Amino acid sequence: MSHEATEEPSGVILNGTEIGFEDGELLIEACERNGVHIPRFCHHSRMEPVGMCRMCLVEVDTGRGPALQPSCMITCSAGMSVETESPATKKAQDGVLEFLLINHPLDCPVCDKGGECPLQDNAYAYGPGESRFVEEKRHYTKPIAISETVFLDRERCILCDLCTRFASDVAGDALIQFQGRGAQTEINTFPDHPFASYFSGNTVQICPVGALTAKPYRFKARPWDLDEVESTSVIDSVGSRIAVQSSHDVVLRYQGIDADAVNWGWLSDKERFSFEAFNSDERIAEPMLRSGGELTEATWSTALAAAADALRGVDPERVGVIGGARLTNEAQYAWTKLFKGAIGTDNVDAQLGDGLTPDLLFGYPRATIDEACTPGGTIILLGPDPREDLGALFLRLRHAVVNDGARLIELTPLTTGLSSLAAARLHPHPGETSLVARALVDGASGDVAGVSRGAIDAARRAIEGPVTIIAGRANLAEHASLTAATVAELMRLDGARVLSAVRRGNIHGALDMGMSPGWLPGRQRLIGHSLGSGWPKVPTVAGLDSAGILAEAAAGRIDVLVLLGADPLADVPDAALARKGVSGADKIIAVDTFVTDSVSQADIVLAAAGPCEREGTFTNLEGRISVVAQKVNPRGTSRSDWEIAVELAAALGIDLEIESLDDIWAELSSAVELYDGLDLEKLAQHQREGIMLRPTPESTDVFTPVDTPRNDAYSLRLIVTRVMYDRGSIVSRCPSGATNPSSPAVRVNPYEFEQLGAVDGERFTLTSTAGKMSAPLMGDVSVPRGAVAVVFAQPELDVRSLIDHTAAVVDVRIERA
Amino acid sequence: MSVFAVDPLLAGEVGLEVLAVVLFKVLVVFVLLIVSVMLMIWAERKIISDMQNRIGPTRAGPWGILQTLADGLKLIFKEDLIPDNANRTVFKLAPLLTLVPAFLTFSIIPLGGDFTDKDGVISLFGNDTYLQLADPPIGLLLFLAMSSVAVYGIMLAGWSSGSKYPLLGSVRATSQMISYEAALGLTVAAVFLQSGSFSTHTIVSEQSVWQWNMWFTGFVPMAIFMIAATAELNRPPFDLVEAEQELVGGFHTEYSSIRFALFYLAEFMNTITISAIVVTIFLGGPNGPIFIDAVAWLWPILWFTVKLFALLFTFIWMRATLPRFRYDQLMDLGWKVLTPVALGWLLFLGARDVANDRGWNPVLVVGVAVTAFAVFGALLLRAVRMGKQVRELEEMRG
Amino acid sequence: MGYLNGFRVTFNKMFEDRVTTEYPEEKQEKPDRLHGRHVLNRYEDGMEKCIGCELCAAVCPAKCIYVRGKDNPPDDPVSPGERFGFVYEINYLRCIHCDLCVEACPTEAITESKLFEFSFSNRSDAIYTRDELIVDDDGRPQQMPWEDWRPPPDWA
Repeated sequence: MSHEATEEPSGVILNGTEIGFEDGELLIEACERNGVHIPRFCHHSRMEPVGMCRMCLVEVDTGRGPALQPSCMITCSAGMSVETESPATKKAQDGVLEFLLINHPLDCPVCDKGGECPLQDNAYAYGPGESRFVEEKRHYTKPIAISETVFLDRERCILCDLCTRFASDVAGDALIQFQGRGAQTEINTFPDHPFASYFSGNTVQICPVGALTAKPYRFKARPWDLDEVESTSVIDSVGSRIAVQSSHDVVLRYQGIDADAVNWGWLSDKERFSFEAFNSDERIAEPMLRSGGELTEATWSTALAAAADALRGVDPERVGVIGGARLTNEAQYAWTKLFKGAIGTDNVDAQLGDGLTPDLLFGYPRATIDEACTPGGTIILLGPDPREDLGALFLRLRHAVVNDGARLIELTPLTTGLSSLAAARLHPHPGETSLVARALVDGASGDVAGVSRGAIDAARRAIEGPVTIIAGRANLAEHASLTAATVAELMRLDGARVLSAVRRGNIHGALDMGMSPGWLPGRQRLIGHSLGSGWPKVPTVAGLDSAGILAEAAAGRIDVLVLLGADPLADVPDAALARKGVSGADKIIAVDTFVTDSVSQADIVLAAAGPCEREGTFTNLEGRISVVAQKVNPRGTSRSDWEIAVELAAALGIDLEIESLDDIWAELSSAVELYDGLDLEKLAQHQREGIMLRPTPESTDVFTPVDTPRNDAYSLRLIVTRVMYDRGSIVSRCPSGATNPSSPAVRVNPYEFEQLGAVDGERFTLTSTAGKMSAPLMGDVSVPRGAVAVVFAQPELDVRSLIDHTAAVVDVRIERA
Repeated sequence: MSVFAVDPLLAGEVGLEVLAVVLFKVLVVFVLLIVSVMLMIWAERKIISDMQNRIGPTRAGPWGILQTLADGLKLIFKEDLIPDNANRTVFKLAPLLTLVPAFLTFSIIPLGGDFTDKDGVISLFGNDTYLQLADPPIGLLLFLAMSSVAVYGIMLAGWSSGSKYPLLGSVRATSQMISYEAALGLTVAAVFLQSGSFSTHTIVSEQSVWQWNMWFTGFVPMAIFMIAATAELNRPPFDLVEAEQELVGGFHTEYSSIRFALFYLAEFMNTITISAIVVTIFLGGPNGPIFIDAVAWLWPILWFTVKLFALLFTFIWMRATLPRFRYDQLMDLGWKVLTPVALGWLLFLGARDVANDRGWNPVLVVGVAVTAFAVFGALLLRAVRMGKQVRELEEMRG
Repeated sequence: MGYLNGFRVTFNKMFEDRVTTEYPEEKQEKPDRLHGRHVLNRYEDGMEKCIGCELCAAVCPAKCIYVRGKDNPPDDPVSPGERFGFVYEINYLRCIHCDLCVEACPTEAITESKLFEFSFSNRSDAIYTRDELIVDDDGRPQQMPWEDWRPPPDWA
């Protein structure tokens, strides 16, 4: 590069030295990159700048003389001269802080933010030592609870606009806003509208003062009491990066950490406050054995001996293992090695019939979240609603659609949290989504499955750029093969990739580790595996999935049912199957953290350590591995899952040759191609962004779709979706999980509602081939005609009695109760 | 009086009765010495605190009398440590080497007995005996010998501790004690010259009632003996041997519990013993007027105690008042002042005796003596100064 | 001689008054700002001053204070304001009586009385809890069974 003269600088002159900048970079960030910190309050690297707080004023000279400018609003340009230490800048900083402190109450001793407060720090570093304000400060009632989890203290608010920007721009719930004007400006929610956002916890984290505080953390400890470690959230499969903070061996808080590839520092409230469940008294602290019909506490030696006795000499075909998504990768490997390698049973399934098969997930090219959010790309959402199930993913997708010009095509049974932003909304009749998918790829000649031809054409026009298909179980009443068929159709689009939206914890790690019938660790098949002599008894014929295991158990052909952090009685969509299966199994060994419905039926309960109580790694829905760190000691005598597997093996006389996590990784990196070259040290080094696993070769299986029966005029097709706050074992034990409203009602389209002549809230009976259920009815325009929508796992409503896992779809009749 | 003075108890047959009396006397002296040590320690603490405007021990027993017992008991209960590098036999032996000579020396001290007419003989259970444990003809030599053996105790204590500070402390102590033994011996020679016998009984009976050696030898030997004795005892102002500021604990750093107690006890026992020696050889021992004839046997004991106490008070007084001597000052004092003066005075006394014998003119004798003192004193001073100059020149040169 | 003047001084000292105070029968006046045992104070109306802000714990160089705050129960507030000291413990085995906590406290809740006769004989007695530190209703410190306040109780 040549310049005509050296007087034309090509960079920004910062305090006399020239620095380079990237295109479109804000001045404040360019300075930060070069080691000059400009104090600020309202700037956030993931949100649009507003220049509300004026703290970042610096003297900027773009050729017409120096002037004080907010550096967070100015993009760098060549030749710009910036002075951050000049007397004018100092006076501006001093003055801004003096202004901010005029009405700011002297709450520091009682404010949760004290000790980690940017206002305190900036006032100390850049502000006046004394205030000249001797008048009465403004007063508001404080604090007011704007939701079940967030308190608002208006006196402390410095009107920086961070919470409002987050709520409206990032989360899409504009529930908190500036109200009033001038000196009476305040932040508040709307009357009768609490701040019931799934992401309200993020506003607490980004608020620079103690105006927004979280109830689960309120007054629990001070920042200097807290000790933190960086870890991964295991609540859903996004694997958001979190900082786990604890004091006196109790986890007190999670903070979101900005990982560029995954979450951008954002967490859903369910993830953020999930630690409350693991701190509760309901935790299983000691192993338990059933004696005299009751579960009583026992020692580890007796419990393991009992478990070994149950397993010893049992025909491998009569052993079933359900669960594994709550475990770390290493624990999954250990358990798989025990059951598939040493005992020789392939009846291992980490999914409870509410996910997708590994064939689908491993057979297609996978997209990362960044690739899904490619500016100008297309996202085809099959479900589930990311806002309910995968909060951090929802925020990323929303950002891509709103800011980066990505186009969203919704192909879901119901509207989702992204519907308002979608370029095309297609809500096909339940069970016929694959027909609409085919029409999307090939073109439609008329209406297909309840979707108008115009809509399909509009959607086709919207497809441009790299296509990502977000595939998950949208409707739990539909068979998984229907989703597979839809994906198969859509994969015929050029350059399409799949981003898995299977939601439960470390399910992708479990599938990678072979916790699925017919699979082995490293996405290998049963035949031709590379695992070596430590796996002598690997069966050659694929085993049963969880539905199969439960069916066999119901028929009395399962002697030992092992539940690894799984609750079939609550989570398997087919309630009758789960009930019969769990009661039909001869002996049940449960490894869990809470006494769930299924655990209370177990004969032997082994106490597992909670998420922050054991070390391990986690694989997220992209196939990215990150570290889950231990911060506190396990409750009581509970142990990490991999230790329980090794001890159980030892009790059975089997040497798994595993004595530490490093042993597991040594085996994995040497024997399994997928994990070649990885070890814990390398993973720890790359903790922030994680390490992507290399993609597996595509499979060429073609899915044969199941024929969907035509529905008759009397039946409505059942749509079962999930919401974030339900009867889940973790969420139901968080006091803050009780915040957001549940939907106890069954919803139908207003057309059907009128047809039935129903009144809002009137109870009706729903009948399907599997069972019946009674519930109040409601009209909802978001439910398409010919369908009835019920939310899964609600406390007052159990829709699972209607679901038949063998059927492709579920048709229900609605009759007056 | 015969030069070979011997206790009348042992004059005739030495039978069982005699043995019993001797054992009785041993017991009494032993107990007496122990109790006096305890009282002496208490008196020292009390008097020093009086001189320092404070109270001293008051809590253990009335007026704190049992304080020493309490300290002793505490020391007995302490852990008995023997360092790894220590020579175990010698380590255990050393306190005894310091303690036993003190006992032995006390055995020759006459504690009472009427010397005015009865020659110090009393009747004990029907047997005539001296009121002292033993009266060997070599009495004072025994004292000098025992004080030399005490040096062994200290030397071996420091050496056997296996550590450098005790070794340094004991080496300094040894050289200190040896230096002052020269002066001590010379003053004892003056006494011998005066009294004509080493036997303590004879010395005391020679000083009958008021004819104390103190004024017959001139006051100089007594003064020199007091100073030299203070140095022998390692008492302030000559106590840098155990000065905590310089050598931790000196030779007894590594000693704890009962062994340390033994050293402590030995030091005070030696103090009492040497005070008793001073009383015996300079102050007439138990000699003194008898006022009430009914308890005639009590008065000599009383006088002995009074004189002993006066000397102990002097030692305590010196402790309370004087700052510590530096090591080189101490050595200078010992070799360059006390020894020449003691020697000179001895020669003077000898000259006086010869002059008395031969009938020379006393004034001439004194005059010559004074001249001789002056000349040799001046020579000595010059030698000292020259030596100092040479040393300083050497130091300046490098 | 000059050397012997010292002997006269020490001899004369024997007849002067002693300066020793016979503790514990006699006691000396305590200095005004003696750093003794801490107390948690109350306002005149009986509300506790401590707001559980943990500033004293943060500044303590010996890390001997453990504080946890809690919301004031609305019907029975313990301190005026939102927050009160729910757990407040001082470990006197570590306390060095530097009074930095007294300086740090924004409400003058923690101050030091002049009590220093509070020797305990086991570790659990050494950790004074909030109930033991809080002054009673008359504003006087509470006396624990192992504390030895010989008269006069000049705790102020």
